[in-house]
Amino acid sequence: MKTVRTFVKKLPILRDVVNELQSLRAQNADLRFQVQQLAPTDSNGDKEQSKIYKPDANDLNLEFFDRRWIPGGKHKDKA
Amino acid sequence: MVILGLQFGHDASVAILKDGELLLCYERERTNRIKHTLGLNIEDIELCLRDAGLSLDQVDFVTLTSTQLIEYIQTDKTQMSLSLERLPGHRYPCTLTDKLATTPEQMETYSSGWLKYIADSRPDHPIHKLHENLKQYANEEQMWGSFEHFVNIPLWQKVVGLDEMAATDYSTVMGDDVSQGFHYPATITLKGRKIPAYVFAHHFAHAAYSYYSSPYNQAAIISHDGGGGGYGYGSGLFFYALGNRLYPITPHNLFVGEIYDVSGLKLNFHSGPPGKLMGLSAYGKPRFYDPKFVGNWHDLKQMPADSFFNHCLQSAEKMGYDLKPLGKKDQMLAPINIDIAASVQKLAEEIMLKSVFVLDKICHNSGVGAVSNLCLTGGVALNCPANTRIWKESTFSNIHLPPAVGDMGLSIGSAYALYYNIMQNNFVPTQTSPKLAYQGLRGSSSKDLIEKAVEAYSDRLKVTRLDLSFKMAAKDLSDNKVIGWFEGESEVGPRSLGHRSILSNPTHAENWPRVNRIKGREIWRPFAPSVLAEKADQFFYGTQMPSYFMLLNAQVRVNNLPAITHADGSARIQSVSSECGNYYHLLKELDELTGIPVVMNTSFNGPGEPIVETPEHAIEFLLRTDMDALYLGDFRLEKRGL
Repeated sequence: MKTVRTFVKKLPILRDVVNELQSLRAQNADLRFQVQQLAPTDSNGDKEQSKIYKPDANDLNLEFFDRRWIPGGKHKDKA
Repeated sequence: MVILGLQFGHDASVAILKDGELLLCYERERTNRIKHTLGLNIEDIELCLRDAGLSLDQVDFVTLTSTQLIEYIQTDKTQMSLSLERLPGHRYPCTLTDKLATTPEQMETYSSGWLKYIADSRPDHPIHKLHENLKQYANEEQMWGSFEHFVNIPLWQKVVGLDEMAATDYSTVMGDDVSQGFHYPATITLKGRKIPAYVFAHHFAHAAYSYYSSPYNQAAIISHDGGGGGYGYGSGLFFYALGNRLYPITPHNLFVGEIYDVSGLKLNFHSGPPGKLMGLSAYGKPRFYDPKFVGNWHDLKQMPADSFFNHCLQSAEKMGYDLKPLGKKDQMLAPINIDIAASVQKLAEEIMLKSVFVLDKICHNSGVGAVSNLCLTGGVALNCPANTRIWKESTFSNIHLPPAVGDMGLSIGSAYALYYNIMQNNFVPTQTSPKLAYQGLRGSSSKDLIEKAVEAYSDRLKVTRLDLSFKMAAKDLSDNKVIGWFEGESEVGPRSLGHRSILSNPTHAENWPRVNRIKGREIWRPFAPSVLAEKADQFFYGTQMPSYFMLLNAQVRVNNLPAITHADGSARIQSVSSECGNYYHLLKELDELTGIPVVMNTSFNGPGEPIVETPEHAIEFLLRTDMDALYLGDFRLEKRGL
């Protein structure tokens, strides 16, 4: 029983510790992801580049966006 | 150069931009007292121009926006009317007219007619409540637009999933043609004067507001809200901004906003479903969250927005939850409700996080390289836990969240978009200041208006005039009184930030239910704290970036703030700096009196009401509620007989 009481008393302290750890993790998050970003995801850089889709001229034809609303609550492209 | 920004959809607003500087942003709901009201009248425009010391003759351009599918209501066409006429003043680039030769007739083919349809056929639809008399104006003569259809490229229909977007080089998209393809020339006639106007795409205006109010000269931007359903660019886009230019990259096809709205409605939150759902989520555990739902509308095979909610119900049934309390107001803290809320919240966070990573990847693959700054906007950016996780866990070092990320900010955004992106004026970013929020009408808090209001109600009030009202207010708070605080220009956006606030002492747990009763809110709904920015770190974890507009969460690090510590130990903090006016001095004084520079701060309004705007609104609130005192300019007011 005494152990339980001691534990309960210490709960706020435990919460502080957890919060402190979370805070540190948050501060480190930027660094962690920046490092991840710098590290190559593929050891073969050329191969990685070739996976990137580069739009051609047809993909970039300017047009008017046809997304008409149809009475009844639907859009043309969702009807 | 004076630009008048007009937002006609819900959260209708007027903004005035003079030489690139925002003079004011007025939300019509604050004066017509209909929360989230839609539509504007000539009186609203004249009120704003008067407040800014300008006349109609001085307006050079007008920018127009609306909420997705919502038409522009012209209540009195002799005073204000709209058309797609081109005037000599329309001399700025526009892809739709210059490159695609789009005609007004073609544009009109795409006008929505949705509001008229709802007004005619759905008398029970909640949108009727957003206007004084929608039915009266729901005819072709008085409804105009709305226009949702701007430039398009086939790529946007070809690359539709988030992972595909992350592996696409958008460098050729980020150019003038697309950047200048999200507006269309129009004419607004105000009291007989024809003024050149531009209709702006909804999310282009959202993005412009966020970026041009930011302290960055380069940023990636996500605009996302509950409209549009996750297809086309209705629900939002990824953008990239550099200097004074704003480049749409691609529609992201997200539907977090819609999933959140639908889930809130299914839990029977019929007013403000997202805010209530966010508050409830902290009580539960995300037991029904499943990573297979992390994606956009196309990743999830165009699933309906309620599919995740249905998945939660099916999972709950299998896990043996009691489903009877589902959506019942008096049993909102039952496990089924709180765990669904937590699961929806978790899903929203994970999808938004994934989107941010995708945007970062796009920047890398499109030759932009590493971008440090992220601007978030659209209604989804009101989700504080998601914003906080994005700030902490994403690759972006800095994030900017302006105070009016909802549709009320569109009037500002469209005016900025015209001035900087289309007219190509020089953009000089400035440090984020709390003053971004205090953009309401100056006239609402004039000394004269306050004195007249106090005089008019003097028979029902005990009035004390004070030299330094913040000192007495701090004393009242230390004595555990609940006070109204009315100071200067009102806040733009949904959060009260110490100019129209109800304040109480956060060290007393009973203030949580007490203020909920005063405001007529559900008893479980949490409250937020305001804290002196320079001392925030002593009371909260995760305050490295100031949260001036209550759009980030922090963890409470002390045990003596029960009224503002949410069930999961978090708090939606407001960092208060000296630019907040006397509100800052109030907190300083409270710190001297009690050693705790923290107040519980909630919006100054009753249930279903907009935030108070005028001294009369504030006094009326004092008289009809159990609030102890009201601080109005130099006055301390109490109800007589106390």
